[in-house]
Amino acid sequence: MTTPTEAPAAATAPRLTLAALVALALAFPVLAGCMQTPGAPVTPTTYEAMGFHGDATGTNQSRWPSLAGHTLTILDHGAFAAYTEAKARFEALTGARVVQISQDDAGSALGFAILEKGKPSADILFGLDEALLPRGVAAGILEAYTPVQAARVPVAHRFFGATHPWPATPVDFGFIAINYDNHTDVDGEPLRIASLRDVADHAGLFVTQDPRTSSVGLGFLLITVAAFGEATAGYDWRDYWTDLFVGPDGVEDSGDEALVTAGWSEAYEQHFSRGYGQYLEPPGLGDKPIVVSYTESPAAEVYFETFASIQDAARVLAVQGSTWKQTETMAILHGAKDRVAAQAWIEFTLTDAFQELVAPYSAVYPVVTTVDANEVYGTMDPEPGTFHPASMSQADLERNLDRWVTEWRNLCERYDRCP
Amino acid sequence: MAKPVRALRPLSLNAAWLALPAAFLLAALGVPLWLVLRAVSLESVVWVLGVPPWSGFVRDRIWVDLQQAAASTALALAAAIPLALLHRRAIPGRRFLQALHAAPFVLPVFVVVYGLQGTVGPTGLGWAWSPFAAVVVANAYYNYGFASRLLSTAFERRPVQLEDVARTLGASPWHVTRRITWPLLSPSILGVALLVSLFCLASFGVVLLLGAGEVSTLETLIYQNLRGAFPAEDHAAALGIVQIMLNAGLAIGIVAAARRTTRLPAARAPHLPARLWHTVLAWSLAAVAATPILTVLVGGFRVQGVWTLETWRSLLDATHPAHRGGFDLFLALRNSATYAAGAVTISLLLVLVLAYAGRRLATGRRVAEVLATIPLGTSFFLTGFGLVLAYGASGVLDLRGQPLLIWAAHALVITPLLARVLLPVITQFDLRVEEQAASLGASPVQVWMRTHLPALRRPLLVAVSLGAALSLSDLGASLLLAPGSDVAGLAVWIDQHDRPFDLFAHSQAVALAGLLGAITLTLYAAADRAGGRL
Repeated sequence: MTTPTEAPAAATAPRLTLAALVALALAFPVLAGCMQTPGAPVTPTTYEAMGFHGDATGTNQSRWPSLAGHTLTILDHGAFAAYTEAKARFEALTGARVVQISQDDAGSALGFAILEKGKPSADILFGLDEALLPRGVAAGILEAYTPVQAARVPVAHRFFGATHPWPATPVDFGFIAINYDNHTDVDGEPLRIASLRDVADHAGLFVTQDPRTSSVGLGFLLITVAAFGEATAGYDWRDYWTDLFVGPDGVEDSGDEALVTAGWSEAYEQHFSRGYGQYLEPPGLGDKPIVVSYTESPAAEVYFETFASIQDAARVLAVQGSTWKQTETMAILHGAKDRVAAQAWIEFTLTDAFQELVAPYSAVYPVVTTVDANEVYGTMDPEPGTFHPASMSQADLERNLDRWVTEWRNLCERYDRCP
Repeated sequence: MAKPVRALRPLSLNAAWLALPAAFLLAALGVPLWLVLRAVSLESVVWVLGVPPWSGFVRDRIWVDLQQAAASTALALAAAIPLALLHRRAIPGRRFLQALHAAPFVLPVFVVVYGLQGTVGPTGLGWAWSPFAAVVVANAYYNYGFASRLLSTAFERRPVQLEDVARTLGASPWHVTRRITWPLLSPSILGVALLVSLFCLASFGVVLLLGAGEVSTLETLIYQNLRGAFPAEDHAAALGIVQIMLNAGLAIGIVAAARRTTRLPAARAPHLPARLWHTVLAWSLAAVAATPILTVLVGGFRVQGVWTLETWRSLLDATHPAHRGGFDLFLALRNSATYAAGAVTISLLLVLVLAYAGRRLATGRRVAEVLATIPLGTSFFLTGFGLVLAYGASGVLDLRGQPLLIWAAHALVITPLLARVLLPVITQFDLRVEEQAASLGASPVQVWMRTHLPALRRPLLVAVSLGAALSLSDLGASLLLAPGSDVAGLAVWIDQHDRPFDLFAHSQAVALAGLLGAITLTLYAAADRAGGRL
């Protein structure tokens, strides 16, 4: 075999030309990219300036200035169940085109938006709540906007306080809560969970979610912090989680420890023994009769006909401080390509046309009081006022959240219970 | 004595051209990795090492990863070696069968996972697998055919004349095997084993889909530390360093094994005669191996055991109630094709420059090989994340929305493969032919067209088809760099469609996986017909 070792150096003119051509070819996409990026400025700059002055119904097309030619991109947490219907209604109303970017969970969606800071590929971020919105604000990825129809959001749901303009617009709320299957027998008795302590005593029957990725899991972590506190001496939330991770027998890896999944779906659909996952084909494992979900989940199961009546569905632990109020928001991303369409979308989410989708599709409550979720769930629907959610000041939450999550992670890793 | 040649003009580029691939590697790999890895802290290193007060969490996970890779490799080789031995026989359709076994290697992860789930898994025979076993089987399925093919080549190309000589000198068959054949082949087997373990160790999609949180690889650990609202960049960086060190160790092992393989000219080993049972066995094994793939190819037309076009109707008809918002099949296909075309172009350019610029250097071939292999040694997810940091919102250049980012990421993945296909061919061109042609007055372009192009035509076709197939199959980089519904390729849309326990959504994902699988298989078949071997 010959090897080209004896080749003499002879750089000739044609080769230099070739080099220049190749360099040009490689540089072209970069140059083209640089030239394209600025984009045409959008005028006027607000939807209000275009002539929008409110339409509570969301069906009166004449009140919605046309957005023909506009494209709105929504970044969501992968659980925007009403998306297809909402998209159709908004497109019909304004003439804009809606596209979607789905992430696996709210945490991932926020992380994605932070990576894209200042030049987002989406215009709207859906799914930031009490815990995650402050992180979005701190990261500087959001563009504050007070909706024209701001009055439709009751003050009770404006968890960000009296700040103007609003960092985000609340669109729905729900209560994160323990669901349990009282059709499962434990020691010959139907399972009954009356307190958070009972959950730890049955840790092996319990599945929850990783608070780093799941907002439901994060809600449960906050419930435990609020309930057990941060004692310098004595039992606190870390001890509670240690009990969950070690199990009632006090022995690690003995099979009676709580299970942690990355997201809500895996916990509820695959592991929970009283959710619709058990009625799919193939059925989920159904190996855990206690799960973290929403107070509304059992009613939603009946609404979607998993069970014939609410008596057949799971039970909810709703005692003082055992639930967490979660308010989901729509936020405009800073640097959004189509700010006007984003504002129009925010306005649309406060209309009846959007709010009436919230309960049937997502099993949470609409923020707008004129829309009645009871029409969907009837008498099975627990009134939101009857829960006693864990109380924690927004300031406390914002100050400590990072530390709590880090401490939780360390605990979870120490007992090797992380998903 | 030979008369002096008038003008020696071998077809090569100035060695300075090597700066081009080097610059690409720096821009697409070096800078992004630096941006990610610089986040490493003392705390994170201690965390990885599991020094108290830290738990041994990472250490234990890495241990499971190593066990997984070892078990996957062992299983892959346990299938690959007998298969390679069987295919030494002159079985009718032998080449086709070997190609079939190796096909999973270029298939999208969804095809492999859905295929195994639909045959030996929960939705097929209903066998329950532990996550560890499922990952091991899937990884082995991915790699065994590829490994078997590499081994077959090594078996065939061994210098059998040595064995003949030994036999003539009176050595017993056992003696020949032990003293001649085994020493000739063992470096190849070791090299293949190390290569397969490199792939299994870095397994991402399989572990994410089947690991159920119980099995992680360094790659999925890095992913978990970077995703979510509470990313631990320093932990990801520390894991990345471990990953790079492990991979570098394996890569050095692979190169060392390759250097120990014999350079003796091969007197192509003749095929042993095939008996009927050899043929029957070989075809039956291929049928078994192809079943998971076939299951996925037809899966889009079956929902819960009933033949139906409903799945495809829901995918194509935007007004169908089960149609996923924003999905447009043709747009997705066009995006995928754009990414594949760009990535293959960049990669081809890099490899050709490497090959022709390397020709002049005494160590040219080695330099070219090393440069082309570097991307294999790093965490793919880490690089993708680094690309976002480097060329995203707050990066040195904002290239978001440009396909260039995905082109670069995919080019990194496929360049080692293209180099494998093209470098050996180009480095073996005989300089004397070029000298003679040049001395007869042919221009360099004429020389290249007449002497190199004919020999390169097939390898180029192979490189283009395989490169495109791998780019189409990619999930990780695409998820990170082009997740929007306007820019997402087909692989991302499969991921978007699949919702666990939503059977119809699952059948939509399977249908799309079947389509993508069919496309990559077609490309793979084209490469195979052109004489390409992985």
